[in-house]
Parts: sequence; structure tokens; C-alpha cells
Amino acid sequence: MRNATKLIFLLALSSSLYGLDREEYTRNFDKSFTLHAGQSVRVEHRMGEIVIHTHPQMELIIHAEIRVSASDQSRAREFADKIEILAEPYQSEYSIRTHYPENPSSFFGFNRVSYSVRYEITMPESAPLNIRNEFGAVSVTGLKANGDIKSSHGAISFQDAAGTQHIEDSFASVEVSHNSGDVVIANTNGSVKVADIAGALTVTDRFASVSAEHIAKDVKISNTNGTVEVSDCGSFATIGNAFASVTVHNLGGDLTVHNGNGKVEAINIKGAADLNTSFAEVSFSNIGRGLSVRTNNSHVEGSNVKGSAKIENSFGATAISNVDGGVHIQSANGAVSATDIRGDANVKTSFAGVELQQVAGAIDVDNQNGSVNATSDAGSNSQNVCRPISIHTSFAPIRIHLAGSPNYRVTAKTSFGKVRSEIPLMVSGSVSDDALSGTMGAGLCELRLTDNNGTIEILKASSSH
Amino acid sequence: MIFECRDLDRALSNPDLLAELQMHMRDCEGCRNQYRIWTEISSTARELHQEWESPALWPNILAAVEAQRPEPKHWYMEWKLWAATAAAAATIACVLMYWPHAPAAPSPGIHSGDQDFLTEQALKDVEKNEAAYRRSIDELSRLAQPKLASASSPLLLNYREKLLMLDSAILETRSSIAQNEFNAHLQSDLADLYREKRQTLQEVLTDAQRN
Repeated sequence: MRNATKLIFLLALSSSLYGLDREEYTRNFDKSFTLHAGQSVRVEHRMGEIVIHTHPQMELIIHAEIRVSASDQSRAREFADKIEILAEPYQSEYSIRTHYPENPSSFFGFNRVSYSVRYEITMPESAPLNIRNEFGAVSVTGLKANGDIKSSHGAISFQDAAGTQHIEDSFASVEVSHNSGDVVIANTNGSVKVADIAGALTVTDRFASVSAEHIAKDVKISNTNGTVEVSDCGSFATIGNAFASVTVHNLGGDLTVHNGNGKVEAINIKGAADLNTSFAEVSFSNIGRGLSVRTNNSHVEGSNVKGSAKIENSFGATAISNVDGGVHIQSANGAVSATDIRGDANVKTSFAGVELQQVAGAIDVDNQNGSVNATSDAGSNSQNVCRPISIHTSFAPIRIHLAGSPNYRVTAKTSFGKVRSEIPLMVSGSVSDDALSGTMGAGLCELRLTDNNGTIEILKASSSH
Repeated sequence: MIFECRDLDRALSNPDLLAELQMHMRDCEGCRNQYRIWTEISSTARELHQEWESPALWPNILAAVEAQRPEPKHWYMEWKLWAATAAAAATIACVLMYWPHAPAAPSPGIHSGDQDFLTEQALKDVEKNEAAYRRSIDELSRLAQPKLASASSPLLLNYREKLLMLDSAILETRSSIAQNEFNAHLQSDLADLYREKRQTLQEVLTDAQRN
């Protein structure tokens, strides 16, 4: 009975104490040291923020704010006094470490202590910096030497620096801006944002977004399951991703994108663009030196390509316009449209229509179960120019529009349909509704049109445009 | 109207179409499976709704932290406080006049009203919410488990890997919290991880439902 009373009393006491407000105690740690040239600064820490500032002097100034929360002030003070800041010089580095004591065991929660230490360090800007932190943010400003920062569960902010920077984090964001050297960032499950880097940038990430802008040299980004955005970068960019979009605007060099199940957008690329994805849209414009797109189950659309364009797609529409060179489009089960092509147009698809407008070069279309409507500009500027045309399809009509004074040797043949020409030609061989052979103008090159179960029409370009 | 698989979503929100859906499901295994998943999700959601006191963990933590701050008293009604404040202001003015280089860093001593640490009450609220959150996540995990176990698509494999990674991070954070339970940063970190895990599981279920 006595024991039971004692127990009830203790429970009542503990619950009444449990309801009490907690108290906090703060102890400051301050230390200064003059580094010698070449000596680096190393900080090993957990449970708290690290803020690094720099100055031109060689003096290292350490300020740490040790904060403890406990049920009363004396317990908080006792624990705070046991937290050690180990700041020691070594031959090549100055080491700063945080040592937490064992958290005392708790009886009815009386001794439940919580703690954090916040560092504010001013260091020589020329000293290399090495940081290891967990469960606390890291902020570095003004470092003019190499940095190596590793953290987890704490955001990293790094700005106004020079030198090569290696930054690694997980489960928190990384932001880097204004660095005159190369930057390498590895993150997991945390976003990465980088801007104004005079060197090259390499980023690997997973499950979070990556953005990079104003990077002077090469950009390499490898991500999974997070969007990638790159803009206003001076050199080439290589980007890998999956299950999320890749957007690149204003790039000074070549662009290579390997995406899977994610949209790709490339705009204002001075070099060549090599865009690969699947099951998502590809869009592009103003590509400076040739375009290559490999995808499937996608919608591909874009314009203004200097050089040639090669596109592979299936089960999705492909549309391209204003290409300085030739276009080579291989598709299946997807419509193809190409307009204002100043080189050759080579198109293969099936079960969908092909629409070619203002093609200056040769035309070669191989389709099945889909119509073909093409306009050749080859003869529009000169009477002695001829670019061969070969079109084949089935179960749908062929309409070819010829500009100027065409010079073709014509062979047109179909079944279960008719062949009709709006342009006069010198017929050769036998004449029938479904076959036609002859010569237009000087007959400088071939015009071969083959269909099954569809009509063929040869028309003047001016009459339909 | 001939009921087709694409009408399923509409039928779920329109009781008039349920009879036709039932008829259709007799011969359509795909729709039967989808309907089963929907039913499981909605019944689970109902159960969770009963237990879940708040839909968001961290706002509750913040609210709890805010709530534990001392209640603002009607000090302007108390003339003694007015007098004390005036005296304190005069003292501070004198100190500032004669001590222009006062240290900026906080001096040692007791602090209150900061958010580095939780209070007892805030921690209690956090733990209560965390328990509810974990129960809901366990339920979602149970639903997603068959899809993840038989994952063959790259996306599902990716989700599975992400969930493993999140579990490992949750374990790590919880282990740190065991030694530092009032640390607000740790609790916030854990809340973020739980939130992300829940979102990932929901994405898994949505993806499974879509396919």
C-alpha cells in the first residue's frame, strides 16, 4: 500500500513537472588564431548552423554559441559546460570540432536535454576550407580558395567565391552563386540552384530540381526524378535525367540531353543539339549547328535550325520548320510536317499523313496508310534546277505541288485510284487512268510517285498556295 | 450509353453510373482492379480522417511553438508596469549613451521565445502528430507494397529506391532525435521526411492506378 502511494505520488510529481516550461541556457565560445600561409580550416560539426565569413587578414576568429534546453537552468548550464569546442592548430590545418557529451539518462524525463551549437567563423579568404556538418545549415561567403563542403540534413549556401568548390549534401538544398572557379555539386533529395559561375559546373542529384544559370564553361548535370533548368550558359551542356523535364535556354555551345519519360525544351542553342527522350514532348527553336532528336511516343515540334535536322520518333506527331539544311525524319504511327526546308527532305512514317511545304531540295517520302501532300520549291528560282522527288504511300492520296517550270521525268502509278496532272507533260508509253509516264520541261531528274488504293495529283504550286 | 473503361472515373463520382459500372466490371478485370484500388484508398482515407487531427504536421509544430510563447498580458492596463518600463527605458538610454560599443552577440543566460527548441507541450503535440502521421504512412505503405514488391517499370523501381533512401534518412533522424528531442531543426527535418515519404507513396499508388 505504501509502495502504491509512493508510486502515485511520483507519477503525480512527474506529470506536474512535465507540464513545466523548459529553460534555455546559452554559453559563448570565442577564440582567435593567426594562420600561416597554406594552412587550411577544417570544421567538423553536427546539430547546428555554420556561418563562414572571410577577410583578407590571416586571422581566424571563431565564435560559437552553445545553446541548451533543459527542465531547469542548472541542468541546461551543466550540460552546456560539458559541450566542448575543440579548436586546435595542426601543421597543415586548423581544426575546429564540436564534442557533445553523452546525454544523461532520463528518469521521468527530468534530465531530458536538447542542444545545438551555432558557429560564426571569420577566416582568411586565401585559406582552403573543409567542412563536415550534419543537421545544420552551412553558409559560406567570400572564400577565395578551394572549398570542400559536405553536409546532410542541412542546407548549404555558398557565394562570392573563387577556387574549385566541391559541395556535397543530402536531404537539403544547395545554392551556389558567384564563383570564379569550377564547381562540383553532388546532392540527393535536395534541390540545387547555381548561378554566375566563371568556371565549369558538374551537378549530380536525385529526386529534386536542379537549375543553373550564367555558367561560363561546360555544364554537366545528371539528375533523376527532378526537373533540370539551364539558361544563359557560355559553353556546352550535357544533361541526363529521367521522369522529369529538361529545359535549356540560351546556350553558347553544343547541347546533349538524354532524358527518359521527361519533356525536353531547347531554345537558342548556338551549337548542335542532340535531344533524346521518350514518352514526353520535345520542343526546340533557334538551333545553331544541326539538330538530332531521338524519341518515341512523343510530340516533337520546333523551328529555325541552322544545319541539318535528324529526327526519330514513333507514335507521336513531328513538326519542323525553317531548316537551313536537310531534314531526315523517321517515324512510325505519327504525322510528319516539315515547312521551309532549304535542303533535302527525307521522310518515313506510317499510318499518318505527311505534309511538306517549301522544300528546296530533293524529296523522298516513304509512307503507308497515310496521305502525302508535298510542295517542291526546287524549280522556282532557276529553270535549270531539278531535285529528284520520290513519294510512296498506300490507302491514301498523294498530292505534289511543283513550283516554277519543273523539269522532271515523271513516273506515276497507282491502283484503285486515278493519276491526274495539272502541269502539261510529254506523255510516253501507254496512257491510262491509274498510270502516267512522260517528261516535264527538260526532264532533268526523276519524279516518281507510287500509290496503292489512292489518287495521285501533280499540281502547280502557285495554284494551291 | 455503352460503358467503357474510360468512363470509370466519371462513374466513381456519379452514383447514377454505378449500376452500369457494376455490369461492366463483371467482364472487365482491369476495371475491377482499378475499382478495388479506389475502394481501398477511399476506405483508408476515411479511417485516416478519423485519426488525423491535423492534415499537416509542421504547421502544427510551428503553431505549438508559437502557442507556448508567453501570452501577451494587458500590460498597458497596469500602471506599475508602465513605471517599470519607463525606468528601464531610461536606464537603457543611459547605458547606450555611455557604452556605445555594446557587444552585438547575445550574452550568456536564459533565453525564451526562440524556436531552436521545442517546449514540453510542443513536443507532446509533435509526438502525437508524428504517431498519426506514421500510422497513415504505414497504411499507405501497406497499399503500395504489392506494387513495389513486383515493380518492373523503371519508374516504380525508382520510387522503391527513393522510399528506401527516405526510410534510411528517417531512421537516422529519429536516432538523432532520441538524443536531442527538443531540437526544432531535427523535428522539422523529420516532418519533411515523413511528408516526402507520404507524397512518394501517393505517387506510387496514383501511378499504379493509372497503369
